[in-house]
Amino acid sequence: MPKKLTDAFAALSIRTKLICVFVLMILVMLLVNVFMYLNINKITVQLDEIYADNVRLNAIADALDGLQSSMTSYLNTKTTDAMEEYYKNEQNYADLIAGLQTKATGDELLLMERNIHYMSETYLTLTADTIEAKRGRNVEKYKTYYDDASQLYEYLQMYILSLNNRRFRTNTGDYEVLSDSLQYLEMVSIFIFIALTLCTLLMVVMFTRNITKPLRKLSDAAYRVANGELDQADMVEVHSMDEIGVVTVAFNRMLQSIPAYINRLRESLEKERQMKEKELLMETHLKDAQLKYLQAQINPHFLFNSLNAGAQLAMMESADRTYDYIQNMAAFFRYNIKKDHDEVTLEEEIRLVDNYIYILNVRFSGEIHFEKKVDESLLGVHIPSMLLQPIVENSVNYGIRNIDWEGRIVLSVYREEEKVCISIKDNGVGMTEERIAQVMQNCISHQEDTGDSNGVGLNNVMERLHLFFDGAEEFVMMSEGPGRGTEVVIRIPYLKM
Amino acid sequence: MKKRNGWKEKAGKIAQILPFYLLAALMVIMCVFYFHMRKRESQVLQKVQDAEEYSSYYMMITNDDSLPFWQNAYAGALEEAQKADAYIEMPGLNLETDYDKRDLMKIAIDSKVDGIIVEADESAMMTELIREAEDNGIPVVTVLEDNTQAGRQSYVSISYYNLGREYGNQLCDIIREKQVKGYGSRQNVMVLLDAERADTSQSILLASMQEVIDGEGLGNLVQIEAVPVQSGSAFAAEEAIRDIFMTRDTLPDVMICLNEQNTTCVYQAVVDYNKVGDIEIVGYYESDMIRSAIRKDIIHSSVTLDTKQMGRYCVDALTEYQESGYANEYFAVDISLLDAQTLGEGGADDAQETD
Repeated sequence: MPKKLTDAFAALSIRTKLICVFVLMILVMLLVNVFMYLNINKITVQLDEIYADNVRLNAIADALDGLQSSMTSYLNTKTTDAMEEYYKNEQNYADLIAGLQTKATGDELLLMERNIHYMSETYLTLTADTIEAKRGRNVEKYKTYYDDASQLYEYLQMYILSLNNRRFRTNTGDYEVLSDSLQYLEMVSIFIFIALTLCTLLMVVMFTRNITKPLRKLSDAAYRVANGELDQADMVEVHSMDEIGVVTVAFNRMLQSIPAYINRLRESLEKERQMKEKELLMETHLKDAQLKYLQAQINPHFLFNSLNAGAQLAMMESADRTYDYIQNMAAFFRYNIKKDHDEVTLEEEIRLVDNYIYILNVRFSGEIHFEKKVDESLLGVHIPSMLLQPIVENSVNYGIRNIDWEGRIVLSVYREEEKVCISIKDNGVGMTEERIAQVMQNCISHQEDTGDSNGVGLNNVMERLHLFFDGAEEFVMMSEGPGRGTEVVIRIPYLKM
Repeated sequence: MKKRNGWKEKAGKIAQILPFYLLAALMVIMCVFYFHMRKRESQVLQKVQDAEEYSSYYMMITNDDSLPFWQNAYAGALEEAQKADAYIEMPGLNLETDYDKRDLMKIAIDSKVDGIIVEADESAMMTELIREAEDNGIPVVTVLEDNTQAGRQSYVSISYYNLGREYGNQLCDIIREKQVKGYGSRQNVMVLLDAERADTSQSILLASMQEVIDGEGLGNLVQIEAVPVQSGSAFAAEEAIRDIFMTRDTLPDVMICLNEQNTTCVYQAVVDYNKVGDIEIVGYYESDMIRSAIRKDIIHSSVTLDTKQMGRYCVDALTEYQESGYANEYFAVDISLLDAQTLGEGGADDAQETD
């Protein structure tokens, strides 16, 4: 079948295809039936014709008998009825023999027919002469004519009989051939019908297979998708553009879009998970810092209440300095206690540092000179809590505690373009590059912490800062060398309130 | 795997278009079958339609159409007739009853044939029938036997004088052979004549035979007896010949037969009565049986004539008459001899022709 035709057929809808196939089958069936009918009809007609010759010869023989007997009857009785009968028979016989062939041929049967024709003509002339002579009462003549006619009648009878017999023999042969043909036709008909049935069956099987095969493929693919085997679910081939083809194309599109959708979903889930993880980590670190703090401070509430009581006592006794000291102590510890929130303002943190420095200056007799250079506009910036105090503590403990000169700590808060810079600078012992590198890589162990520390290490500060600002922060520690002090600079993004 | 899939795909494609090819094949089978049927039927029904037409139609009427002698003559006549766009028929063969020559002549006349070839006789009825035919404008040619009374157009036959001479020669040969073998006594020769024949042909034959014997100086050694045998009625010849063997005290030494039927009957009687070697037979015409008997030396020899030539001459005479209104009065058919020697040389076809 030409490819174009196949393509055109494939493009048809199932309904049209079904109609095409059924119409084709019906047409073929019709054609075969008409063919068989025509053949059978033809043979039947031929079978009918076979013995037509014999029927005709029998009719001639009967007519001849009738003519002879009517002539004899007239000769015997000379009645008008007999005369009429004779003329009727004569006409009948003349009509019948007119159908016989008169040519000289090479076929003996046709020659016999020819001879019957001419002999009959002679016979008719003789009978007419006989009747005429009888009517003319010419007895001698009509007897002679009658004898001649009777003799010719016998010859004719014999000729007709002989021809009839021979025709019958020949026709029987023909009949057998046609009968064979009929049987042959029957066999061929059976064969053709069986072949046609098989053909039809095959066509129906093929056609339904063409419909169900893509459906099965589609359902297989759908099952695979349903089982989550998206990777193994290949595109379903589209063979035709009928209804199934359209569904297959839609399915293929769906198959293409599902992985992309899943990827998007996966990405958003991943992001969510990361956010939660970060939050948890932050909380953990804060908890860790608080735990350490609480561990370090035995019953701070008791301590805080006691300090408040001390402050009231000092006020009553008019010991202002003691009162301030205790107030600062109380403020410091209160900050630690009320830390139920992670986020604080820069102002609160600076206040804590102030408290802390005041306490230290009381402890160490005002050795520490704390200086603030704060851009007031930045006081509202949010930062993680307990951020600045540990750095200041570090500057005190490792920078200026054991120096011979006057210890100084400068806290600066300023803007640097879109960043907020928080700088804590001391004029302490300073640090080597290696030491700075070690500190920055979190190599300082907690064991090195002194008993004075509130326990919140630099690494904790850095991690919380990192978590809070998502890496947008900058934590820099620098020193111009031993004996030349250390500066810690934190740069955080400036977020407008 | 890929190969298998490819094969599967290919098979699938073939399977898809297979029903259409099968349908096409079915249609082709149907067409072939249709034409085959038509051919088969037309072969049967064509026979009648294909019968060739001829401008003339003759009838050949003989005493016994079934004899090989007449069958051969008919074959020769038919062959010649077809050359002249004519057809010839032996009507007796096609009819369910055996009509005699008279009936067949009547049938031929009433059938308005274009010419009649008849093995005539000198009877008054035959004369009348020939005349009737002439009156109806049908030319008549007599064959083998003539009717001199009626106005037949031509007569085709052998020369009975020559035939007698041939028989005479054969008789002389037999007498000489017998003399060599020591049978020097007078030989009784029986000539079986046809009792139906009223013409002079048999007399001429006997006379010319006698002439040859006398000419050879063997006249005193031969006693010729002419025995007429009936041939007209059924089985008459056979019975008459059996009678000779059964009733006669002394059987002849030589028997001369002047027709095919007598030859066959005499041969059979000689065998049946255990007279092989005692009776020499000189036969007439040839048939498988006669040839076989000659080879076995039961029949000495057989005088035969070219029957096909005879048939041809009959048709030639009719054609000639139709074309010119005249025909040769007489056509002489060649005579030949069939004996052990000529059979050995290659059968009847090479038989020595004699005048």
